[in-house]
Amino acid sequence: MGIAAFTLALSLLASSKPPLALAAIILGSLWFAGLFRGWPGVTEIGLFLVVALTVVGILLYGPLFLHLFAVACALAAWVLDRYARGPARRAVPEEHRVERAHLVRLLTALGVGMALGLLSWLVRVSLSFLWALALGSIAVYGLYRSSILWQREPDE
Amino acid sequence: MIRPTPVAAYAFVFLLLGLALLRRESPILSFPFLTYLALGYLRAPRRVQLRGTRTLDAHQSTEGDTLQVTLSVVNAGPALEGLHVRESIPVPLQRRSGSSEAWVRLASGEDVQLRYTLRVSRGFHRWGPVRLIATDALGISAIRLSLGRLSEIVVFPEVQRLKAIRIRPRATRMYSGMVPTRRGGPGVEFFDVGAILPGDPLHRVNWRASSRHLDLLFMNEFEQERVADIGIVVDARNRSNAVSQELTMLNASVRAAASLASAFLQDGNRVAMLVYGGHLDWTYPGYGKTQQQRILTALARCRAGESEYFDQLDQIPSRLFPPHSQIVLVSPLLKEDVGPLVRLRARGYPLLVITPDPVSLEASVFGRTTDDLLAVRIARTERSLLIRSLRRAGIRCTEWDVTQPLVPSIQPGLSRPGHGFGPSGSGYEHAQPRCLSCGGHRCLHVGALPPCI
Repeated sequence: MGIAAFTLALSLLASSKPPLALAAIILGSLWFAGLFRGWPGVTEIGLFLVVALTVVGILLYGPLFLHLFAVACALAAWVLDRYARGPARRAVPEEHRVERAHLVRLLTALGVGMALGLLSWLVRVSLSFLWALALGSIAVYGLYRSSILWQREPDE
Repeated sequence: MIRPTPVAAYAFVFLLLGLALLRRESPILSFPFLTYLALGYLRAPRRVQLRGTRTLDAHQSTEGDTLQVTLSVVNAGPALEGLHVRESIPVPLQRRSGSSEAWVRLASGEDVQLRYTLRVSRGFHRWGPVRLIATDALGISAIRLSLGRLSEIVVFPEVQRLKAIRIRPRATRMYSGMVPTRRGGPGVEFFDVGAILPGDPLHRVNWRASSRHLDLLFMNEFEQERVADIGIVVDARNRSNAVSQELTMLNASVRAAASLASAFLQDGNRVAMLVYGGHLDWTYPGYGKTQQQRILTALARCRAGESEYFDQLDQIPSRLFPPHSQIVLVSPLLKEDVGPLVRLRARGYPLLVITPDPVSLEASVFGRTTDDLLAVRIARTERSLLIRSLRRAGIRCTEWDVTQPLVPSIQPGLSRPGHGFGPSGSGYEHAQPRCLSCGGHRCLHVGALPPCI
């Protein structure tokens, strides 16, 4: 989350918005403080604020790569925090094996996500508004359906 | 487990913003979220086949003992990247060591074992099925399932060994035992001197008495000792059972009842038990170890309860007990219990009351302010008056400070001869004034009422 905040601050500085960059730095510092003091929900709020600042950054035409990197770092921080606070925190016989697998998968997912993002930035496909709306709606609906499928009861 | 909903929500936000602002940077920012969800979904467990067994190292135990539980889960299906195993321990049991929860990866055919040790407390305890969550390595998609059968353990109350308990009921049974019957015959305690009859053994002749009469010989008679019918009544009413941290009055009463029943049965008596609370739990009279097991089982399931009908001790069904048989009541006692107990005594049942002291229990968690000490003094005075009024009615009362061990506390009161037919033998002689500050008979507290000796 610290890296995300720092990256965002760089992006906002590049957009000539020092007060917002300062806000991003304060956000990173508060996250560190919350982490050490054990404030509840600090990572959730941190992720939300990073996303909000990223949206501001987009509106200010900031560099996309930095935004993408900031969002990926914030997501990684949120996932790792959730993982550390979840059942894995309690007694685990093979803790390192499971943790390592989780970390590898997370880095893979975020790496692929960033690579795809950059690729789609470089590749330009012209779409009419209706096409964009249709594809966007399909994506939103697909996401909604799959989120239902993720939590399911066993078949047997 | 990572809930996919927030991740999907952020992806939604970026997609919708892209549509709303017509800016392609926004949907691109949703890619990390989308790939995270997609990878989780692609690697989700499709088929889960698990077998589980739970082994308890005993199915019967005594309160305070430790119990080892082993849980084994075998993966009979394809490999699982993440498996969360969680065992729900029955609430009153406390885990001493080991773990009842694990988060593991299981290859096909591999197994995971959880071992933990519990400190058991009285009661019937049931383990439900094991809760399992099979997930992908990212923890996004989950399959929840339950595994295993129910397991059960019965934890009996602790039985402490009481030595002789002196009781003298009017009615006894025909078999030899340890209860004096007030009738001459074979025995060990001197009872009377009577005229010798043909066939009586000469070694029983009382020569001193016979020498005073020229034409008569007298012989010593001994008191017959028989077994008796004893009914133990455990007061399980909610309002008479105070609770203080881990120690409850009911647990104390149950422990005392178990020890008393065991002592009476060891002496060969016929013992019955009645748990009087939200309902009546009656254990039929019986002898020996089987009866002891029945009583301990009834005490293991004994719970405090509330009932309008059984609110007063008046509803003790005295007809369950043979006439003039000994009744032992284990109760913390309430003010309004005096009347019913006196009436029960008046019907000819000798009563022995073992009363765990709720005042000392509650005083142990009170503060030491002046108000607290005054409240404790008032409560002790009330309780002292209550016990005196019972003793005046010919009811033997033995108090037990539950913060002290059972046997040393009540054994002296139980071993003293108590006929139970009047103040002289009713244990009234033990009703010395007690210091209202510390509860002791002899202390140096100044200003205690009544004055300390």
